Amino acid sequence: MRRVLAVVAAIAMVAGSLALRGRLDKRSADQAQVLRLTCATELETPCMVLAKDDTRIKVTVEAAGTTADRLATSESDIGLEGWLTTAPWPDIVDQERRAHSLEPLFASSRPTLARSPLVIAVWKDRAAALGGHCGGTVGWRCLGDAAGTAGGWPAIGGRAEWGPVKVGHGLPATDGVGLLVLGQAVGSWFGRPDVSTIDLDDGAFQGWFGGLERSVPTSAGSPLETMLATGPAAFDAVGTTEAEAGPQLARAARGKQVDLLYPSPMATADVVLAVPVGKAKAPATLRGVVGGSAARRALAVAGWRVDGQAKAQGVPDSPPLPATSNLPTPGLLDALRARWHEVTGK
Amino acid sequence: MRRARFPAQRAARALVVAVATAMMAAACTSSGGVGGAGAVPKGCTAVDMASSPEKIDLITDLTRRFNGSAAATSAKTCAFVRVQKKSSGTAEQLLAQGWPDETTNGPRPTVWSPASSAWGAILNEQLRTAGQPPMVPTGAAAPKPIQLTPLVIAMPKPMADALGYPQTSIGYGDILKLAQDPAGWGGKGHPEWGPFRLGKTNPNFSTSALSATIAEYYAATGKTRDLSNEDLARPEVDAFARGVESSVVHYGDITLTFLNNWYRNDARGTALTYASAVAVEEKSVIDYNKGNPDGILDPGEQPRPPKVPLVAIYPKEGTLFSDSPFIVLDAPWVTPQAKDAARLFEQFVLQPDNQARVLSFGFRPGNSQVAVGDPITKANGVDPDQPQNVLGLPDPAVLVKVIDLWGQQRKSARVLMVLDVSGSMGEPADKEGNTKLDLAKQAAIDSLGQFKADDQVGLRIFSTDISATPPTDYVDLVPVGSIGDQRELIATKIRALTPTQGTPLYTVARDSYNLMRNSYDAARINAVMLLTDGKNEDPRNNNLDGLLNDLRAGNEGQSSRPVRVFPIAYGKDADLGTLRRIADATNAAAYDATNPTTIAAVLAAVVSNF
Repeated sequence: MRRVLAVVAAIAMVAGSLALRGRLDKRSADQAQVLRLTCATELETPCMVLAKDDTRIKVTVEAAGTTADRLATSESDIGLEGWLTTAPWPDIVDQERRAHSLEPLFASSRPTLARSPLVIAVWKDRAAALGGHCGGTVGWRCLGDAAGTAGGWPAIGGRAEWGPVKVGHGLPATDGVGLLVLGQAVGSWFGRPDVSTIDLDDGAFQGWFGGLERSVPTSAGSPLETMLATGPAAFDAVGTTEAEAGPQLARAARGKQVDLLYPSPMATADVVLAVPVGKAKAPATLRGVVGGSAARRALAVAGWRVDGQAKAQGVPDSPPLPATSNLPTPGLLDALRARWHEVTGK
Repeated sequence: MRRARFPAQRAARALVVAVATAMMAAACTSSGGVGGAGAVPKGCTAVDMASSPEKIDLITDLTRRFNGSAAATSAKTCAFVRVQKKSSGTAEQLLAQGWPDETTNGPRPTVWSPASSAWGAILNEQLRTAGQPPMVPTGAAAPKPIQLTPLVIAMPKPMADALGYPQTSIGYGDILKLAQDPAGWGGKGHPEWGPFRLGKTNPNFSTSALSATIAEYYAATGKTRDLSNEDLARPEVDAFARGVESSVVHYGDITLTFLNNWYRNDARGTALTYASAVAVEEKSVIDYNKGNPDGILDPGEQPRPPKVPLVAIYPKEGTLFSDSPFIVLDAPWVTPQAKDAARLFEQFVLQPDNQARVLSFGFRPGNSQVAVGDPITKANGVDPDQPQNVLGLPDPAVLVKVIDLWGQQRKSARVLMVLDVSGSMGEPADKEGNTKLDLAKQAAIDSLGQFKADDQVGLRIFSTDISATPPTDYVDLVPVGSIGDQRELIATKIRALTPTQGTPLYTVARDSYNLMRNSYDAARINAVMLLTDGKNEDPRNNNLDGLLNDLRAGNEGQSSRPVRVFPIAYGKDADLGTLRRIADATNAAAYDATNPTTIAAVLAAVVSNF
């Protein structure tokens, strides 16, 4: 009897240890699960906060256009469980994939996590000269006219030593915000965001677009940072997000010499988390982390407008945001990238 | 249960991280190594950095503050930075070759900070054409600038006043007009200043020269961005560039040679006839006007402002900024750990407090949070509100073409190579058993490739009683003539050299100088390249003061026929002090090759003057 009890006890101990081992392995696997989050460059700071808070998250920072180009033709492992970027980059990717006869990558449900209006940062003395030229309100259409003027500043009421009108934005081929700024500028020329690809063939538009884009100086890093570090020598005006410009102007030594303009109609860069369809648990976990309070706080600290979160220094309470982004469609933005390549040769 | 344990695990992990960080911090602090000197502390990652020379004092200062500080440690690593000085062009060429021979060239860098990001673009382009991946990140990962300083045209204040600056804006086109005016400064009411003389360095080595050459081409095209290879091929652009280059006094590997010479001439009251304008970085104007022309104060050295200050002219067409990028190299030898460590130093350098130190060294801060202020003031000859326009950095392929074209368009040279073949040149110089003469011969033959076809070069050797007939102390093996015709002849003669007797240094210096002066060609850079490994050993001519007076007299005055003598002190017994005085007397520069194994690099630097 004793022997039988001993055998039963041994079996129970083995079974128990196996069960315990299984549970430990499962928990260990859960904890060891790596969540690969690719972040657009303009979202680097909040992403680094997420990675620091949660060691499961491995962040790769990459320009949205670079990520998009890779994903547009990727047929195997796309190397990420989530892509934190601005809309509508994920839709541009899926549109490109359909054009390549590939399945779309991302789930369609994609709540907006944070927003930021697109702005123009311009030196105050240049803004005054532009105001005269533009009839009081400086917008992209007028700025594009000025940039394409052969005579430069003297021809539009500015000082001769200012030279050519130097307008900057991120490279639309790679920079996530750069393409959105270009989309806003094109919407401004047509006076509406619902621009179609056929509209891009308009001769007057092509002249304006070429004049604007061929005048954009090359900048190795952020055009706004270059503008603030070198003064008006490099850029007279830069298009970017309020999230970048507001806090930077508040900190910069030359910040008070710069006006922040909100071109009409206002357009916004909206932060989204795009998760691939077909992944098992990872998307839900990432959504939880990225949609959590720590992530929302990190986005707000980085200058983005997040409901319920205090705004960062330099980010004003007004103007209020529009209901939608007011940007052209993903297809039009994608077509603009191609048109930009043609015009600039870059 | 699980919720209760998770924070405990995180706390334990945090403790491990904290302890590791503290241990690494302690390890870093315990070394006592400062300024990048000394061994790498245990547990730390070495970050070797190659920095361009004009900011070496600043980087050394920042390194000294960084190593061992809390900023040098993170949860991942502990960084220990070691800095070496490398001119931008030299470092670019070494990186393009995979940074060979660490014994001679120093350790392979993790971080490279050339004076301008143009060098990074050139490196990537050269790697691309060689079928290799880029080493310098681009796009969103493009390196950030440590500091900024614009290229300016430095001009003595009386000359700038004569041109009406700053009320009248001045550009490269105006410089060309002056350079080509036969009346020279006489056309501006100052015949006593002689012809317009431009000082410019060699764009193969020097960032200010590369920027000035780009600006020159932009001025020729009337463009301010997107300079293209098609632009460079236009005949009028070629003519413009040759016109500007024709007014060059001589070239050089670094601008500090010009500034030192200018300063010495200022002390003698001849600053206005040495050079009319030199393309330099804004920082150099500040240093010069403070009485510190080379930007480096030796211990005990008291700066003394010059009698005639310089004014920084910001060309009206626009200019380029030297932006000192902090490049963490994507090179095969750079490990992920080294990159992480390098990022710690980058963060440190870009902190506002340290960017304020950047300003104190005469640079504009790369971090926009720090305001431009003293010493960048009009009182120091510079204008914080300038420049108003920046020229676009051309595409990498165009940059490479600019350098290639300059080699054809630069002012032609007329050079007498004078080589010491005294007995001491037969002493062993390296572990392979080569003599000093063996190394000098190979370096001299290699340097012949740097001359362009229409340069004129001759070869003279010297040693006591080397010739049976007068002059007995030297022999002209190849008379000065077109190197296109006699490059191989000179090389053959050099190969055949053997060591002989003593060193009649003063006689050969004087006679070589006189030969070139008597056959002076105003359309060329006239120079003597004098390589010697010893002191004057000629009892028949031991009059150094007489030699220096003769050299000086020929180089001063508005109607001078300047022949520059560039001596090379070769081997440990060379008399570098005397050779420096000979160079100074002709407004040239002496070069130090007291370590014979450096002779190839030194000769390349010497030939960059032509």
